[in-house]
Amino acid sequence: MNTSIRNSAVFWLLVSPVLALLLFFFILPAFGALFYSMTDQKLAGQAIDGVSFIGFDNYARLVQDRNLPKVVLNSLAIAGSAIFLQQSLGLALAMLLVGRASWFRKLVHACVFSGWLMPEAATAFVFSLLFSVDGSVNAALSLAGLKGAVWLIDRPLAIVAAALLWTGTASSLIVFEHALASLPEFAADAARSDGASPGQVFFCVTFPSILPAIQRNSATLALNALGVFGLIYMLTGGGPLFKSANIPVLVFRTAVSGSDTGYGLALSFVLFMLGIALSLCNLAARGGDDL
Amino acid sequence: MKASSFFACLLLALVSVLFMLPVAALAAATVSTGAGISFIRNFSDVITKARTMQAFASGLSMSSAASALSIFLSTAAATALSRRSDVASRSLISFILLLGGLPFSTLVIPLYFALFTLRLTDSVPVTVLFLAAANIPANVWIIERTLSELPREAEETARLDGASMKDFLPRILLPQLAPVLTGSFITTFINCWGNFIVPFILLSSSHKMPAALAFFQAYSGAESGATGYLAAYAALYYLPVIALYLMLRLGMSRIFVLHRLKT
Repeated sequence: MNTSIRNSAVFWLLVSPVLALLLFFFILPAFGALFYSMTDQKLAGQAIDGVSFIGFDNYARLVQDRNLPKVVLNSLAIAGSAIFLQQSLGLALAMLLVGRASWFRKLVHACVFSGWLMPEAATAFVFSLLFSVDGSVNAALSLAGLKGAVWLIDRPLAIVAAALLWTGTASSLIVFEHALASLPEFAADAARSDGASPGQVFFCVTFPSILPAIQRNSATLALNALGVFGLIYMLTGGGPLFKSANIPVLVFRTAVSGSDTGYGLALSFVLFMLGIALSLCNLAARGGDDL
Repeated sequence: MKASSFFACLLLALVSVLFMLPVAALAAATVSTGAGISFIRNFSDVITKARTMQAFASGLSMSSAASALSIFLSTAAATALSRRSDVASRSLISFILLLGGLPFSTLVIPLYFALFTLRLTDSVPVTVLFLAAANIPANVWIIERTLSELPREAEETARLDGASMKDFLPRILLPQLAPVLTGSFITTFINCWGNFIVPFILLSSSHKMPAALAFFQAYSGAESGATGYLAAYAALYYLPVIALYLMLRLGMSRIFVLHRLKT
């Protein structure tokens, strides 16, 4: 009896600092956002007597926001590009890497991980070097006799997606190398010796067995894509005219650098709930086992 | 070598080269000799500027402090959680993982307003605490998993031999945990070092700014035209991460495989 109480006390002693930090930094801001989102606060630090409680008016305004549909579509496009492009590329590379010599794998890893490891601010700078009007891409195009473009103005979202493909593919590669390594090799071998084509082996044997990994990875990618901020903010600022802005950039432009805090935080609270919903999907897909 | 194998390697090599292009562009820009500025001059301009050195020092101390704190607290919690398999501890792990999935941008903007009310904005300690907290879920998860995979025999034997918890922790548990703790420390450090949004929202005094923020200000502000200088700055900011990655790959790949970096 005495030891169990002591163990329990020790248990909470060890766990509580972590819980306190998570509550303060993860839960408190969400409730703060919910509170401010029901006021007409305009700026951070505005005197509280100048602010009045307006209930759910800010949430009603979300429907009328002219920029919001565009921004939500951009968020979806970024998530779609992550789930389809990054993931297919990561899976293809992982499959091609099966059975390669160790030095070769390490070399390919080093190249693919170079984008993953680069700090966001440096990545934004490098992509602005590549895609500026007098940047490397336009220079290479003119050498090939082709006409360049004003990439960051004409195709800002595509450039953002390209930068995210460069930085994000590595994580899918890791997930699928891990998933493929834990597959029993004899199933594919048996199918092959029965005369199945490579396509049949992939779609009938390999794909079904890595489907759980694909589901978990898609949920993770969707969550990360939902939260992209630094790269967009530094590369395009979300512009021109919100053409490359996603939800976090709009939240920032409205609540922090703009002057509509209450409304911005209403949007932020919606984003938080969306994050929780996706994180729940992720947790459900994970189902207790690894990655 | 079979033909299909040859083409697979060729394809992999091609993709690898494509992935190295941005790095090559950065390296090429550091030697840009526009207006007679040389490679060495670009780097020495970055290194000799007090402002950039302060930013690197600030980034280094904030990232180290946040990583150390995050690993310390995560290890404590993971040790407790791995000892119990009841509903309460399982739901705590799920709760921690649920929060751990949330991207920083969904947290840090509302946090800014909460901190404003509490008069805690522009505080380095709060920023370090946030960075530590943000990396706690991933660290708790991986350390807890490592702990529950450890063979229990060593622990039983030590207990039968009369070792107390005080002896057990440093002599038996810590040596077995050392690789995962080192790996988690390095990954957390890389996360903090490269993170932009957290210092961007939480810090405003220029002397407190870590490299992420100082570099962005240089490139979006007064020095935006000085390509060679900025490229050297970015390369110096990128180098520590490459060094840490190489360290990780020298024998600790498993940790890296299980960890993921956050955006």
